[in-house]
Amino acid sequence: MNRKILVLCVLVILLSGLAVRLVPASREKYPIGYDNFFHARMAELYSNGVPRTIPWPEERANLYPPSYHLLLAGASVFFGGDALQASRFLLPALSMLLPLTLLYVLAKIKGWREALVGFFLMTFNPFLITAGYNSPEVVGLALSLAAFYFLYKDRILLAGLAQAACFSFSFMAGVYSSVMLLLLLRGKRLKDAALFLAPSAVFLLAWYGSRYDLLYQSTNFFGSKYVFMSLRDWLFLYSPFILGAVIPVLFCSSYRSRFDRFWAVWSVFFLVAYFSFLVTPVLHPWRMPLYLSVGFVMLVSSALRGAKGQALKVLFIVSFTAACIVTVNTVAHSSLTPPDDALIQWISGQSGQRVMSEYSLCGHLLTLAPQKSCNLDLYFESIPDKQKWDDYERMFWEYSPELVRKNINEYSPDYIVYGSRDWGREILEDSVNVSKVFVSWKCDPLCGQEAAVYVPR
Amino acid sequence: MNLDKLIPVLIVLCSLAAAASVLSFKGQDYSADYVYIQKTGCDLFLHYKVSRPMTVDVWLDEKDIKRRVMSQEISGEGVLEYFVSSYSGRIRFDVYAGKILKGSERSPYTLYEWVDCK
Repeated sequence: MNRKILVLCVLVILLSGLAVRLVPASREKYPIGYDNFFHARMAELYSNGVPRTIPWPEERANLYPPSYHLLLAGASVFFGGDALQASRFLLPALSMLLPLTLLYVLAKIKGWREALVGFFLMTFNPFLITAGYNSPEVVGLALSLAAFYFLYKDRILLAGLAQAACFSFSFMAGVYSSVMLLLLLRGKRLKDAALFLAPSAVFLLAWYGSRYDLLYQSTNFFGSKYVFMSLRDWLFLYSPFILGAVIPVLFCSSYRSRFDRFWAVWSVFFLVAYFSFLVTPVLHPWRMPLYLSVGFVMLVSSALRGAKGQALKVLFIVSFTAACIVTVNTVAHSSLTPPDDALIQWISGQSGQRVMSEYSLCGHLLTLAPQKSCNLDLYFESIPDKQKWDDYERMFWEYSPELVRKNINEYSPDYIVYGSRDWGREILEDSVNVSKVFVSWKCDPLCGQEAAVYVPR
Repeated sequence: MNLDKLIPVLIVLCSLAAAASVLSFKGQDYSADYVYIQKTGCDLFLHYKVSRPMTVDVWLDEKDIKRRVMSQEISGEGVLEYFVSSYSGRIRFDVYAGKILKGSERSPYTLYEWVDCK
């Protein structure tokens, strides 16, 4: 391929990819993706040194991998120390690391044509774009891809170091590692496997070992029911498409080299992991399509080398991309709606302290009105009081008057808050004596559901 | 079909289309309408900020008493005061634009507070 055309294509994809991520972020008042409210608060803690514990909503061990919060604390310097504002842009920009790493790896292993197609498909992948608004896993995944490359080139120690860096960004490094480890063990390369794992082991011991006395505080299992309710329609739309049809076809047509074999195994592994959410949600099923997409992009790029069915492949790439672009345009908005924002502003000026709300609104509230207490934190992987969390969440999801009465009697909230996306308020109104003191809504042009504040009598 | 020529053209076009599409992003306008009740003894203040003219109906709202005691147009930002006398129970504010809708259409935004002013 002509070098000038190649550079032009890379630049166009890179700049367009950055625009797709940063333009929506720049036009929102708050970060896109509510996890950023947690990350911003963590970065504020890190600006005073590495915290052993997280103080809210109740003190518990800081087990979250530190690298992203350190980076965010550093980046907030450029935003006048405002970590929440820094979080609007840092992670979306960093999410381009994965396509760039993929470009490099494919160029080195397969060739520039394949690299360009892979770079393009990954840059505009809607799962990566949406994950890039709130999940440091996207940086971890790029590092894991680098680890794969070093492993492929038999530079085991470098692979291990890259994977250790991945662990410093994401818990999911453990899952990516297991695929690489599987292949090393399959080749009976025990020494290489040990060398690959050693740097990660050192990091894990240093980070978690130093907090072992605090580990017992956290209850990390929160039930698959929650995950069922959290999965979005668009995820259901794409995943069966990728999982059910495309990957098996690519698997059959590309099963030629060590490279293809790795990504085929990777895809099958995550396919199995994806359906594990029926049993347990610990593997983050809402990110599975992203991991699958990496395998998918690798396989589809590799399949381009075959001479058969070229027109079909091009047609497929174009249609997939068109679907991605449509999806991107429908999902990139702040999770905090204008009525919820008005509600939080109002409640922050009230005298009562204890607020009961669904976890997402609670997370926003804890950041924007930090003087209030809210017993659900958005960092739901580590819940200080599982019973209370479960009681609260069920109150917003189940139509149970008994549960509503139990919660109000046991936890005595000053305010019960329903965001514009919550339901179940009718049960509250019918079950308990409450005053409804605040209502906010937005008509643009259709009127959405109200956000409301209730006060128990 | 020459993929070496076709792929760069498709990629550049699709990338530019994606970049162009984000220019249509407006971001959210965070101005929302709201009403809230402030109670001082038997004085009830309804604070409001609405983007279009609306009507507020005030109801004495108990099992055996349901009567509308006040109806007032509101617009923009302001405070509506209602003094409760010789009544103990729930007082309700219905806020709506135009007619109150029925059936599956949106009902008025409703707030309520309890008073003991007998």
